[in-house]
Amino acid sequence: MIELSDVSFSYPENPVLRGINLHIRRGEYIGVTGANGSGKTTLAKLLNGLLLPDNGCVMVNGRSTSDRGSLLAIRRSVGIVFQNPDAQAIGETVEEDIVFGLENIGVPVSEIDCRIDRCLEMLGIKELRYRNIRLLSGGQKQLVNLAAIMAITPECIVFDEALSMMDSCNRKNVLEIISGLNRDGTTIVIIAHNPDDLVHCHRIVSITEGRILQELPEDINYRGSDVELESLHPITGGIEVQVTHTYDSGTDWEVSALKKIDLVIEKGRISGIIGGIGAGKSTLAYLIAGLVAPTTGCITIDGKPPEPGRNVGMLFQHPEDFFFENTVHKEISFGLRSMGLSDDEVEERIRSAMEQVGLDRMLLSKSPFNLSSGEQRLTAFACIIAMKPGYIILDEPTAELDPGSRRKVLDAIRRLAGEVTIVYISHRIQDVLDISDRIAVLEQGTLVFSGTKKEYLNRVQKNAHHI
Amino acid sequence: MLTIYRQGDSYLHRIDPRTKLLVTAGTGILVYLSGPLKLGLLSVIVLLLADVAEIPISNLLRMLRPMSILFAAIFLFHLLLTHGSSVLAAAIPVARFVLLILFTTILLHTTSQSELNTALIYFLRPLGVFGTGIAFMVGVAITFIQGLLLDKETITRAQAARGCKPKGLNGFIALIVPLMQRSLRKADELSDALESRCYHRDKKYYYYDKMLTRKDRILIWVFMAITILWISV
Repeated sequence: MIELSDVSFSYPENPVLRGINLHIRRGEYIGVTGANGSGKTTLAKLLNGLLLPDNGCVMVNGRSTSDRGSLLAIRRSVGIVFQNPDAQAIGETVEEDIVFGLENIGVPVSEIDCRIDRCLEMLGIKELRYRNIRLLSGGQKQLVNLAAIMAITPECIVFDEALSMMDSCNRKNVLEIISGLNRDGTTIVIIAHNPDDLVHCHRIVSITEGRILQELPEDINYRGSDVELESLHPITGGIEVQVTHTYDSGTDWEVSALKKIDLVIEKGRISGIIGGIGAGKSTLAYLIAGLVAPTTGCITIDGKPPEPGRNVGMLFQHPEDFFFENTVHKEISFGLRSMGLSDDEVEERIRSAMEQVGLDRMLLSKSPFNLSSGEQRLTAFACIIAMKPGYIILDEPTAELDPGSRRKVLDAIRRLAGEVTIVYISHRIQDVLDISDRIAVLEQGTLVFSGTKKEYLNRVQKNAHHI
Repeated sequence: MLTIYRQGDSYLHRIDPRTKLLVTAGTGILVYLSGPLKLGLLSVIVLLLADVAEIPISNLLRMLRPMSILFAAIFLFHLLLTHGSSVLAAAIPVARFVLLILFTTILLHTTSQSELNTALIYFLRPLGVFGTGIAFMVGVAITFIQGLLLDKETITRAQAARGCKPKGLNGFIALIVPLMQRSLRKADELSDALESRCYHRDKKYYYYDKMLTRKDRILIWVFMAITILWISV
């Protein structure tokens, strides 16, 4: 169905793909993996003519993507669900977003309704049809993006790290749906770092140094426990201190994000918070970091209210998006200077922070924008550590990193254990279990479990026996 | 946040978006031609419409809150700098602004972005592909601005978590550089998403494009009659 012959592609001064040959057969389910920056997204964009090759050619159903007259037919055949759920919303409501593509391909009005209903039902989000997309969680938005592409019924769907923002439970459901689409004849190309996302693939190719290496599914270190654990959340848990939070309280678009949360985070430990889409993880992080005031109740850190940048720091999702200085040194020293520290103290803290995250001091003079994804993430981490806040909240710190970079970030967190209290928020349960001493589980804004890792695993096992 | 459309089944929701757009534009003219008494009458009408559309008063006030400094500035400007001005005279331009915002709020509350887009395309259709292109760009720009406002909030929080105070040149740079960077990247990603969903310039917009009903035509005629009466009295 898709044939890439000797395809090369370069961004200015940055060759990405070199002499790629790949044949994707109709009805195939193919996985693509590779390190950050290896050219996976570039490959995806070449498949439906969003990018055109510098050399070689990409043929879709016998049509070249370089032929402008064929582009619409090619995009009708190959749909892409991209990585960032926020940047793909075209309509205001979920319905409008799906209608956009269907109007483009000329689906009759009577059928548009059926297709919207069918896709939303398949993804289990029928109740979201008239909801405003911008008020949905990242995972829900991604399901809507998937529905919008599914509704067009392309012959091939490319998932460009599209599942990375989903929790394991939703990811498992979506993978089942993708398998179903594939059984019905849709060709699937799934780009992922997480081996769990590649389990159904007929074959997996990896991109290294701009070239494709063939792999077998058996070569992927599949870890199924992550998925199983998520589906067996403990049911109940005690509540000690109440904090609630409602967004836009008293208005039509009021959203109750957290309901009666009672959580004790012990000093000096790494505490993990897990939960599915829209569970309220990020809201809880904002509250603990003192960036948002709770609607009712209060949060204290060592008996004092949270002061962002003072007694608590927070590493946001994709923290590299917030860089603004032209060197790593300036980026790290920015927060320190705003604290009014002396030059010597600033230099000492920068040196220490770089050491703690395992970054070479040579990078200090480089632009943070020119670092690799892993180095950028560690630099952002160093910015927070250097301020010595005592408590650090990490919101999905390994999201969208390749396994090598992910390991480095987790190692840096482990090195800090004991020195600072860390709250590790993630939908990757295995990461949280690997690194945390205590676990808290949120479900739809409610704390359903809080306890030690052992207690959590015991409950999971007990629930498994009941099932 | 600009996002204010709410799904509903009120009389105002059911009116064709083209009718609503025309009537709102016409009401804007009436607001500017009205004196204190008529402005009072328009205020009653706006509250009645809000009630019909089942819009809580809190929603209307929420739309006015970000503009309060501007209202105060307009009021003081007229009161202090206009020769022979009184409190009532200075309050009139503020009342006009408030009414304009409230009528627009009611339109946006009861009309989704796609419906508005379809209405705009209908009126710009005589300009051909160029007209539909403009209407589409307006729709995309509104969506994009909403995203920009959310990004600004996230970046402000992220920088605050690093100890940045949103003051002075440093605070401005810490906000504007990541905001520009994110916006450019998002614009790129949005264009990829548009093209992946088969966008083309000859697109026909029809899902939200219904025929004008008799009810809508009557409403337009009644409104025109009221407008003439309003201006002549």
